[in-house]
Amino acid sequence: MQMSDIVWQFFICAFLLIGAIFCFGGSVGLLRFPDIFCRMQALSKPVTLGIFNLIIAYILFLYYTDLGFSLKGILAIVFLVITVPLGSHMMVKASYLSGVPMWKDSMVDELNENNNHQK
Amino acid sequence: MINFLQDYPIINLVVNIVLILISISLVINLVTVVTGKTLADRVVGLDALGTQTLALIILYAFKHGTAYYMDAVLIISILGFVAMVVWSKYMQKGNVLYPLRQYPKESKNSNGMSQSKRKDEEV
Amino acid sequence: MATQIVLNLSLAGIWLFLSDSPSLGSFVFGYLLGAFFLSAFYSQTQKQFYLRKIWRAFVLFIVFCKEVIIANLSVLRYVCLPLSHLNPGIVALNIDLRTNFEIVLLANMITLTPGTLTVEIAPEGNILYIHMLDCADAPRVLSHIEKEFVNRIKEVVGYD
Repeated sequence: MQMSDIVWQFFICAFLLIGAIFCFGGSVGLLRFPDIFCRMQALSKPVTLGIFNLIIAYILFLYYTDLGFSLKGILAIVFLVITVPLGSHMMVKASYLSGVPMWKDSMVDELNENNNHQK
Repeated sequence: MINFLQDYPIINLVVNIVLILISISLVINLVTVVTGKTLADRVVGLDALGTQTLALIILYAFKHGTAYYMDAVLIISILGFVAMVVWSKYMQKGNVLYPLRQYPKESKNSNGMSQSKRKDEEV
Repeated sequence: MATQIVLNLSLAGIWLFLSDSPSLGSFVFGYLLGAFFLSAFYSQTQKQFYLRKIWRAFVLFIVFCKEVIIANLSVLRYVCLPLSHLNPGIVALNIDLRTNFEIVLLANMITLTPGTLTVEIAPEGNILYIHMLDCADAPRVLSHIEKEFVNRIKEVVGYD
Protein backbone atom coordinates (compact mmCIF):
# COMPACT_ATOMS: atom_id res chain seq x y z
CA MET A 1 0.00 0.00 0.00
CA GLN A 2 1.54 3.25 -1.12
CA MET A 3 1.30 6.62 0.59
CA SER A 4 -1.34 8.00 -1.78
CA ASP A 5 -3.52 4.93 -1.16
CA ILE A 6 -3.44 5.51 2.57
CA VAL A 7 -4.30 9.21 2.22
CA TRP A 8 -7.29 8.51 -0.08
CA GLN A 9 -8.68 5.79 2.17
CA PHE A 10 -8.23 7.95 5.25
CA PHE A 11 -10.24 10.77 3.72
CA ILE A 12 -13.02 8.45 2.50
CA CYS A 13 -13.36 6.87 5.94
CA ALA A 14 -13.26 10.26 7.69
CA PHE A 15 -16.10 11.65 5.55
CA LEU A 16 -18.13 8.47 6.04
CA LEU A 17 -17.79 8.53 9.82
CA ILE A 18 -18.54 12.25 10.18
CA GLY A 19 -21.62 11.91 7.99
CA ALA A 20 -22.89 8.96 10.00
CA ILE A 21 -22.39 10.74 13.31
CA PHE A 22 -24.27 13.81 12.08
CA CYS A 23 -27.19 11.74 10.76
CA PHE A 24 -27.39 9.77 13.98
CA GLY A 25 -27.18 12.86 16.19
CA GLY A 26 -29.85 14.57 14.13
CA SER A 27 -32.32 11.74 14.47
CA VAL A 28 -31.69 11.42 18.23
CA GLY A 29 -32.36 15.15 18.56
CA LEU A 30 -35.57 14.67 16.58
CA LEU A 31 -36.79 12.35 19.33
CA ARG A 32 -35.57 14.34 22.31
CA PHE A 33 -36.71 17.87 21.55
CA PRO A 34 -40.13 18.72 22.97
CA ASP A 35 -41.46 21.06 20.33
CA ILE A 36 -42.14 21.06 16.58
CA PHE A 37 -39.99 24.17 16.09
CA CYS A 38 -36.96 22.67 17.85
CA ARG A 39 -37.41 19.38 16.01
CA MET A 40 -37.35 21.17 12.69
CA GLN A 41 -34.03 22.72 13.68
CA ALA A 42 -32.71 19.23 14.44
CA LEU A 43 -33.91 18.03 11.05
CA SER A 44 -32.77 20.75 8.72
CA LYS A 45 -29.22 21.26 9.88
CA PRO A 46 -27.38 18.08 10.92
CA VAL A 47 -29.17 15.63 8.63
CA THR A 48 -28.48 17.78 5.58
CA LEU A 49 -24.83 18.10 6.44
CA GLY A 50 -24.59 14.35 7.09
CA ILE A 51 -25.95 13.55 3.63
CA PHE A 52 -23.57 16.14 2.18
CA ASN A 53 -20.59 14.35 3.74
CA LEU A 54 -21.80 10.95 2.57
CA ILE A 55 -22.20 12.17 -1.00
CA ILE A 56 -18.69 13.64 -0.94
CA ALA A 57 -17.34 10.31 0.32
CA TYR A 58 -19.18 8.58 -2.53
CA ILE A 59 -17.69 10.95 -5.14
CA LEU A 60 -14.17 10.40 -3.75
CA PHE A 61 -14.69 6.63 -3.70
CA LEU A 62 -15.82 6.58 -7.34
CA TYR A 63 -12.78 8.59 -8.36
CA TYR A 64 -10.44 6.38 -6.33
CA THR A 65 -11.61 3.05 -7.78
CA ASP A 66 -11.71 4.38 -11.38
CA LEU A 67 -15.44 4.09 -11.84
CA GLY A 68 -15.72 7.57 -13.33
CA PHE A 69 -16.09 11.10 -12.04
CA SER A 70 -19.73 11.82 -11.34
CA LEU A 71 -20.91 15.41 -11.62
CA LYS A 72 -24.43 14.43 -10.60
CA GLY A 73 -23.29 14.34 -7.01
CA ILE A 74 -22.47 18.04 -7.07
CA LEU A 75 -25.91 18.66 -8.54
CA ALA A 76 -27.51 16.66 -5.72
CA ILE A 77 -25.55 18.64 -3.10
CA VAL A 78 -26.56 22.01 -4.57
CA PHE A 79 -30.18 20.91 -4.77
CA LEU A 80 -30.22 19.73 -1.15
CA VAL A 81 -28.65 22.95 0.14
CA ILE A 82 -31.21 25.06 -1.70
CA THR A 83 -34.39 23.12 -0.98
CA VAL A 84 -34.09 21.82 2.59
CA PRO A 85 -34.13 25.26 4.32
CA LEU A 86 -37.02 26.37 2.10
CA GLY A 87 -39.02 23.25 2.88
CA SER A 88 -38.43 23.50 6.62
CA HIS A 89 -39.38 27.21 6.61
CA MET A 90 -42.66 26.38 4.85
CA MET A 91 -43.45 23.57 7.27
CA VAL A 92 -42.74 25.69 10.35
CA LYS A 93 -44.82 28.59 9.08
CA ALA A 94 -47.76 26.33 8.22
CA SER A 95 -47.65 24.62 11.60
CA TYR A 96 -47.50 27.97 13.43
CA LEU A 97 -50.45 29.35 11.49
CA SER A 98 -52.53 26.23 12.04
CA GLY A 99 -52.23 26.52 15.77
CA VAL A 100 -49.65 24.05 17.03
CA PRO A 101 -48.76 25.11 20.58
CA MET A 102 -45.21 26.04 21.51
CA TRP A 103 -43.36 24.39 24.37
CA LYS A 104 -44.62 25.53 27.71
CA ASP A 105 -41.21 26.67 28.95
CA SER A 106 -40.60 28.97 26.00
CA MET A 107 -39.22 32.35 26.94
CA VAL A 108 -40.55 34.88 24.51
CA ASP A 109 -42.93 34.93 21.58
CA GLU A 110 -42.80 38.25 19.77
CA LEU A 111 -44.67 37.00 16.73
CA ASN A 112 -47.75 36.53 18.84
CA GLU A 113 -47.43 39.97 20.41
CA ASN A 114 -47.06 41.72 17.10
CA ASN A 115 -49.77 40.12 15.10
CA ASN A 116 -52.51 38.66 17.30
CA HIS A 117 -52.19 35.15 15.93
CA GLN A 118 -53.65 32.28 17.85
CA LYS A 119 -51.15 30.50 20.05
CA MET B 1 -23.28 -12.02 -1.52
CA ILE B 2 -21.96 -9.12 -3.59
CA ASN B 3 -19.12 -7.25 -1.99
CA PHE B 4 -17.10 -4.90 -4.14
CA LEU B 5 -14.99 -3.85 -1.19
CA GLN B 6 -13.07 -7.08 -0.72
CA ASP B 7 -9.87 -5.42 -1.92
CA TYR B 8 -10.17 -2.55 0.56
CA PRO B 9 -10.53 -3.98 4.07
CA ILE B 10 -10.45 -0.64 5.91
CA ILE B 11 -13.29 0.84 3.87
CA ASN B 12 -15.22 -2.42 4.28
CA LEU B 13 -15.04 -2.18 8.07
CA VAL B 14 -16.05 1.49 8.14
CA VAL B 15 -19.00 0.92 5.79
CA ASN B 16 -20.27 -1.89 8.05
CA ILE B 17 -20.08 0.36 11.13
CA VAL B 18 -21.87 3.19 9.32
CA LEU B 19 -24.60 0.78 8.14
CA ILE B 20 -25.30 -0.16 11.76
CA LEU B 21 -25.48 3.51 12.82
CA ILE B 22 -27.85 4.51 10.03
CA SER B 23 -30.13 1.53 10.73
CA ILE B 24 -30.43 2.58 14.37
CA SER B 25 -31.29 6.15 13.35
CA LEU B 26 -33.97 4.81 10.97
CA VAL B 27 -35.57 2.94 13.87
CA ILE B 28 -35.45 6.10 16.01
CA ASN B 29 -37.21 8.06 13.27
CA LEU B 30 -39.90 5.39 13.12
CA VAL B 31 -40.42 5.80 16.87
CA THR B 32 -40.84 9.54 16.31
CA VAL B 33 -43.47 8.93 13.62
CA VAL B 34 -45.47 6.51 15.75
CA THR B 35 -45.44 8.42 19.04
CA GLY B 36 -45.80 11.98 17.73
CA LYS B 37 -48.45 14.06 19.43
CA THR B 38 -49.36 16.46 16.65
CA LEU B 39 -49.67 16.05 12.89
CA ALA B 40 -46.62 18.20 12.25
CA ASP B 41 -44.44 15.95 14.43
CA ARG B 42 -45.32 12.93 12.37
CA VAL B 43 -44.73 14.74 9.09
CA VAL B 44 -41.27 15.77 10.23
CA GLY B 45 -40.52 12.17 11.15
CA LEU B 46 -41.60 10.97 7.70
CA ASP B 47 -39.36 13.48 5.98
CA ALA B 48 -36.46 12.39 8.15
CA LEU B 49 -37.18 8.78 7.17
CA GLY B 50 -36.91 9.71 3.51
CA THR B 51 -33.64 11.52 4.03
CA GLN B 52 -32.07 8.68 6.00
CA THR B 53 -33.07 6.31 3.19
CA LEU B 54 -30.83 8.39 0.95
CA ALA B 55 -27.91 7.60 3.24
CA LEU B 56 -28.76 3.90 3.08
CA ILE B 57 -28.81 3.97 -0.73
CA ILE B 58 -25.34 5.54 -0.81
CA LEU B 59 -23.98 2.82 1.46
CA TYR B 60 -25.45 0.16 -0.79
CA ALA B 61 -23.70 1.84 -3.71
CA PHE B 62 -20.42 1.44 -1.83
CA LYS B 63 -21.01 -2.27 -1.47
CA HIS B 64 -22.22 -2.94 -5.00
CA GLY B 65 -19.55 -0.85 -6.69
CA THR B 66 -21.52 1.03 -9.34
CA ALA B 67 -21.92 4.69 -10.12
CA TYR B 68 -25.60 4.57 -11.07
CA TYR B 69 -27.12 5.06 -7.66
CA MET B 70 -26.62 8.82 -7.85
CA ASP B 71 -29.73 9.15 -10.02
CA ALA B 72 -31.81 7.56 -7.26
CA VAL B 73 -30.34 10.03 -4.74
CA LEU B 74 -31.34 12.99 -6.92
CA ILE B 75 -34.87 11.76 -7.53
CA ILE B 76 -35.62 10.88 -3.91
CA SER B 77 -34.43 14.28 -2.69
CA ILE B 78 -36.66 16.02 -5.26
CA LEU B 79 -39.65 13.92 -4.22
CA GLY B 80 -38.96 14.63 -0.55
CA PHE B 81 -39.00 18.37 -1.19
CA VAL B 82 -42.26 18.18 -3.16
CA ALA B 83 -43.77 16.15 -0.32
CA MET B 84 -42.82 18.85 2.21
CA VAL B 85 -44.45 21.56 0.11
CA VAL B 86 -47.65 19.54 -0.31
CA TRP B 87 -47.84 18.76 3.42
CA SER B 88 -47.41 22.37 4.42
CA LYS B 89 -50.17 23.51 2.07
CA TYR B 90 -52.46 20.80 3.41
CA MET B 91 -51.75 21.75 7.00
CA GLN B 92 -52.46 25.38 6.37
CA LYS B 93 -55.54 25.25 4.16
CA GLY B 94 -57.12 21.81 4.23
CA ASN B 95 -56.67 21.25 0.52
CA VAL B 96 -53.68 21.53 -1.76
CA LEU B 97 -54.68 23.12 -5.05
CA TYR B 98 -57.69 25.31 -4.54
CA PRO B 99 -57.69 28.63 -2.65
CA LEU B 100 -59.67 29.19 0.50
CA ARG B 101 -63.37 29.47 0.11
CA GLN B 102 -64.85 32.81 1.02
CA TYR B 103 -66.82 32.53 4.21
CA PRO B 104 -69.00 35.35 5.62
CA LYS B 105 -67.18 37.97 7.65
CA GLU B 106 -68.00 36.95 11.20
CA SER B 107 -66.22 33.63 11.01
CA LYS B 108 -62.86 34.94 9.72
CA ASN B 109 -60.02 35.69 12.11
CA SER B 110 -57.48 38.43 11.58
CA ASN B 111 -55.19 36.33 9.39
CA GLY B 112 -57.78 35.83 6.69
CA MET B 113 -58.05 32.11 7.33
CA SER B 114 -61.57 30.80 7.80
CA GLN B 115 -62.37 29.36 11.18
CA SER B 116 -63.68 25.97 10.15
CA LYS B 117 -60.68 25.16 8.00
CA ARG B 118 -58.22 25.42 10.88
CA LYS B 119 -56.84 21.95 11.46
CA ASP B 120 -56.84 20.75 15.04
CA GLU B 121 -54.00 18.71 16.49
CA GLU B 122 -55.86 15.44 16.84
CA VAL B 123 -55.82 14.57 13.17
CA MET C 1 -18.96 47.82 -16.88
CA ALA C 2 -18.81 46.35 -20.38
CA THR C 3 -15.67 48.34 -21.18
CA GLN C 4 -14.00 46.91 -18.08
CA ILE C 5 -14.69 43.33 -19.18
CA VAL C 6 -13.51 44.02 -22.73
CA LEU C 7 -10.30 45.66 -21.47
CA ASN C 8 -9.59 42.77 -19.14
CA LEU C 9 -10.14 40.14 -21.82
CA SER C 10 -7.99 42.01 -24.33
CA LEU C 11 -5.15 42.31 -21.81
CA ALA C 12 -5.38 38.57 -21.21
CA GLY C 13 -5.31 37.94 -24.96
CA ILE C 14 -2.24 40.17 -25.43
CA TRP C 15 -0.44 38.28 -22.66
CA LEU C 16 -1.37 34.99 -24.32
CA PHE C 17 -0.05 36.07 -27.73
CA LEU C 18 3.17 37.47 -26.29
CA SER C 19 4.15 34.34 -24.34
CA ASP C 20 6.45 31.63 -25.68
CA SER C 21 4.22 28.61 -25.07
CA PRO C 22 0.56 29.61 -25.21
CA SER C 23 -1.81 27.50 -23.15
CA LEU C 24 -4.85 27.89 -20.93
CA GLY C 25 -2.65 28.58 -17.91
CA SER C 26 -1.03 31.60 -19.53
CA PHE C 27 -4.46 33.00 -20.48
CA VAL C 28 -5.67 32.67 -16.88
CA PHE C 29 -2.46 34.24 -15.60
CA GLY C 30 -2.83 37.15 -18.01
CA TYR C 31 -6.45 37.58 -16.88
CA LEU C 32 -5.45 37.78 -13.23
CA LEU C 33 -2.58 40.15 -13.96
CA GLY C 34 -4.86 42.41 -16.00
CA ALA C 35 -7.46 42.36 -13.22
CA PHE C 36 -4.84 43.39 -10.69
CA PHE C 37 -3.59 46.33 -12.74
CA LEU C 38 -7.07 47.45 -13.78
CA SER C 39 -8.27 47.45 -10.16
CA ALA C 40 -5.27 49.57 -9.20
CA PHE C 41 -6.11 51.93 -12.05
CA TYR C 42 -9.80 52.15 -11.23
CA SER C 43 -9.20 52.88 -7.56
CA GLN C 44 -7.74 56.23 -8.61
CA THR C 45 -10.95 57.24 -10.36
CA GLN C 46 -14.28 57.04 -8.54
CA LYS C 47 -15.72 54.16 -10.53
CA GLN C 48 -16.26 50.64 -9.15
CA PHE C 49 -14.32 47.72 -10.52
CA TYR C 50 -16.64 44.86 -11.38
CA LEU C 51 -14.53 42.13 -9.81
CA ARG C 52 -15.14 43.62 -6.39
CA LYS C 53 -18.67 42.23 -6.43
CA ILE C 54 -17.44 38.76 -7.32
CA TRP C 55 -14.82 38.92 -4.58
CA ARG C 56 -17.45 39.94 -2.02
CA ALA C 57 -19.78 37.15 -3.15
CA PHE C 58 -16.93 34.68 -2.76
CA VAL C 59 -16.22 35.97 0.76
CA LEU C 60 -19.94 35.63 1.61
CA PHE C 61 -19.84 32.02 0.44
CA ILE C 62 -16.80 31.22 2.60
CA VAL C 63 -18.38 32.86 5.68
CA PHE C 64 -21.57 30.91 5.02
CA CYS C 65 -19.70 27.59 4.92
CA LYS C 66 -17.97 28.34 8.22
CA GLU C 67 -21.29 29.28 9.83
CA VAL C 68 -22.89 26.04 8.61
CA ILE C 69 -20.19 23.89 10.22
CA ILE C 70 -20.42 25.77 13.53
CA ALA C 71 -24.22 25.46 13.41
CA ASN C 72 -24.23 21.70 13.25
CA LEU C 73 -21.77 21.31 16.09
CA SER C 74 -23.89 23.57 18.28
CA VAL C 75 -27.09 21.65 17.49
CA LEU C 76 -25.34 18.40 18.40
CA ARG C 77 -24.26 20.00 21.67
CA TYR C 78 -27.87 20.88 22.44
CA VAL C 79 -28.90 17.30 21.69
CA CYS C 80 -26.51 15.85 24.25
CA LEU C 81 -27.18 18.30 27.09
CA PRO C 82 -30.29 17.92 29.32
CA LEU C 83 -33.40 19.75 28.27
CA SER C 84 -33.24 22.52 30.88
CA HIS C 85 -30.49 24.23 28.88
CA LEU C 86 -32.97 25.00 26.13
CA ASN C 87 -34.80 28.34 26.19
CA PRO C 88 -36.62 28.46 22.88
CA GLY C 89 -38.56 31.46 21.67
CA ILE C 90 -39.39 33.63 18.69
CA VAL C 91 -37.74 37.04 18.27
CA ALA C 92 -38.14 39.77 15.69
CA LEU C 93 -35.40 41.29 13.54
CA ASN C 94 -35.71 44.53 11.58
CA ILE C 95 -34.14 44.57 8.15
CA ASP C 96 -34.24 46.95 5.23
CA LEU C 97 -33.46 44.94 2.12
CA ARG C 98 -35.42 45.88 -0.93
CA THR C 99 -35.90 43.02 -3.35
CA ASN C 100 -37.50 39.63 -2.70
CA PHE C 101 -34.46 37.67 -3.78
CA GLU C 102 -32.25 39.15 -1.07
CA ILE C 103 -34.85 38.58 1.64
CA VAL C 104 -35.20 34.92 0.66
CA LEU C 105 -31.41 34.53 0.53
CA LEU C 106 -31.13 35.98 4.03
CA ALA C 107 -33.93 33.72 5.32
CA ASN C 108 -32.20 30.62 3.91
CA MET C 109 -28.86 31.62 5.41
CA ILE C 110 -30.45 32.22 8.81
CA THR C 111 -32.03 28.76 8.66
CA LEU C 112 -28.64 27.17 8.09
CA THR C 113 -26.81 29.05 10.90
CA PRO C 114 -26.37 28.12 14.57
CA GLY C 115 -29.57 27.61 16.48
CA THR C 116 -31.90 29.74 14.37
CA LEU C 117 -34.84 29.08 12.07
CA THR C 118 -36.89 31.58 10.09
CA VAL C 119 -40.58 31.33 10.97
CA GLU C 120 -42.29 34.14 9.15
CA ILE C 121 -41.65 37.23 7.05
CA ALA C 122 -43.90 40.26 7.54
CA PRO C 123 -45.96 41.15 4.45
CA GLU C 124 -44.31 44.56 4.11
CA GLY C 125 -40.92 42.88 4.09
CA ASN C 126 -39.20 44.75 6.90
CA ILE C 127 -39.49 42.34 9.86
CA LEU C 128 -38.15 38.79 10.03
CA TYR C 129 -39.32 36.47 12.79
CA ILE C 130 -36.69 33.99 13.95
CA HIS C 131 -37.10 30.98 16.24
CA MET C 132 -34.01 30.42 18.35
CA LEU C 133 -32.94 27.50 20.54
CA ASP C 134 -31.40 29.76 23.18
CA CYS C 135 -33.02 33.12 23.84
CA ALA C 136 -30.75 34.06 26.73
CA ASP C 137 -28.21 35.74 24.45
CA ALA C 138 -30.60 36.88 21.77
CA PRO C 139 -29.14 40.39 21.24
CA ARG C 140 -25.67 38.99 20.63
CA VAL C 141 -26.90 36.53 18.00
CA LEU C 142 -29.05 39.15 16.28
CA SER C 143 -26.20 41.63 16.07
CA HIS C 144 -23.95 38.86 14.77
CA ILE C 145 -26.45 38.03 12.02
CA GLU C 146 -26.77 41.68 11.12
CA LYS C 147 -23.02 42.24 11.01
CA GLU C 148 -22.08 39.16 9.05
CA PHE C 149 -24.92 38.50 6.66
CA VAL C 150 -27.00 41.61 6.10
CA ASN C 151 -24.06 43.94 5.56
CA ARG C 152 -22.31 41.52 3.23
CA ILE C 153 -25.44 41.00 1.16
CA LYS C 154 -25.81 44.75 0.90
CA GLU C 155 -22.22 45.06 -0.28
CA VAL C 156 -22.66 42.35 -2.90
CA VAL C 157 -25.77 43.89 -4.41
CA GLY C 158 -24.41 47.42 -4.22
CA TYR C 159 -26.21 49.65 -1.73
CA ASP C 160 -24.88 53.02 -0.60
